[in-house]
Amino acid sequence: MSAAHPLADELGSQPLPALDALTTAEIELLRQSIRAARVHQKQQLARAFEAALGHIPALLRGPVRKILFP
Amino acid sequence: MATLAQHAEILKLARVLATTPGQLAYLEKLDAASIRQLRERITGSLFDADQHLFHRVAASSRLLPGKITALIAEKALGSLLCARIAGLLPADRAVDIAKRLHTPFLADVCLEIDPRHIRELIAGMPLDRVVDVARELAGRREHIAMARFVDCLPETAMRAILAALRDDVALLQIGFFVEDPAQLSAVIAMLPDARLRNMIASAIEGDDELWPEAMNLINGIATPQRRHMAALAADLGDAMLTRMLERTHRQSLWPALLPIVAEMATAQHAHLARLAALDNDAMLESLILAAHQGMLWPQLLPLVANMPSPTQSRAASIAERLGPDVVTQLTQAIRTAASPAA
Repeated sequence: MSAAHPLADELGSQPLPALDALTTAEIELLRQSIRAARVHQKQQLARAFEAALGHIPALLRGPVRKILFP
Repeated sequence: MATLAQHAEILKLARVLATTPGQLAYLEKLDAASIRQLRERITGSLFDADQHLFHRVAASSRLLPGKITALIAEKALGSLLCARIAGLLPADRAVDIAKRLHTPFLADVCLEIDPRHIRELIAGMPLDRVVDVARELAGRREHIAMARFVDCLPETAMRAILAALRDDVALLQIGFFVEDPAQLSAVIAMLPDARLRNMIASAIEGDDELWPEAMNLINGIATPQRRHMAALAADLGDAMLTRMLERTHRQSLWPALLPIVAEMATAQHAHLARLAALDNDAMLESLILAAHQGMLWPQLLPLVANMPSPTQSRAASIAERLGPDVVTQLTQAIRTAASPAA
């Protein structure tokens, strides 16, 4: 059985031959970039949800909040 | 140094990771296809990481009228989230919202979105809005993003955009980044000869990046379009052809030009081969070396066969100076050209 590729936690276990050419240090840089992008996306999502609720008419705010935060 | 295709892929990945291309410079050791595979995997993982939230936003938007959803999309959600959500909405609903968004915002969304996931939405958008967004992206010189849409645009939209964008150099730059050669060939087939001719001439006279980009593009399209582009290039006139040869020589680009020259007609080979610019030892040497190193003798053959005798003799002397191996191959090329039926 072949070993999982070094970014399996970030990108799933399916083989990714491209990574074979990178050094351990470069893989680590890539891992940090992917994690930073995930954090960035989560922060954007959180900000967007809050901002979105402010634009929704009062009558609809409850149902929309229920869908967004069940 | 990264090739143009690697550079393009690193730019696209940098956008996905919200970082700069410089931070990903170490990926230059991967070929373009590998970087693209990595980008697609990362894009998928970012989408999967918060997929449940994207689905919730898409579901909640169904409760609201399109006008309010569009307002929220633009004022609160932002382009990245809209790009993630667009493909999760029913196409007619997505079109209804997208039509109400301002053009600069739609252009922002286009930079973040994977067009392959929104083909129905693109097909449902009014043509004038599609053209407006294309103009906005062209104005920002977002050639890479535009190229990704070329792979997914319906023909009517493509024709409308080509008619609206009058900058042939920009078209060339977009063309270089198109991923599907068949789609690129289809777009080339939609353009009138005058514009194709202008694209080639502009590339010859443009900066150092443009001419290799143009040749990469021509070499990447289907044979009928490549042959047509080669014929248009051959008819550009002596002054422009001389500049083409000199530029190719200066940038060591014979391996890209020779396959294009090989597509020209016999009369065009004869014309090119008799240009004074080729009667130059340094140019002949680089041409012969490129053919030798790249096994491009069959592509050089028609040009050598049509050279005036004195130029052929000079070419033979140069080949002799370069070594017996080169002489053997050049002699063979000349013999084969002289007896094509053999």
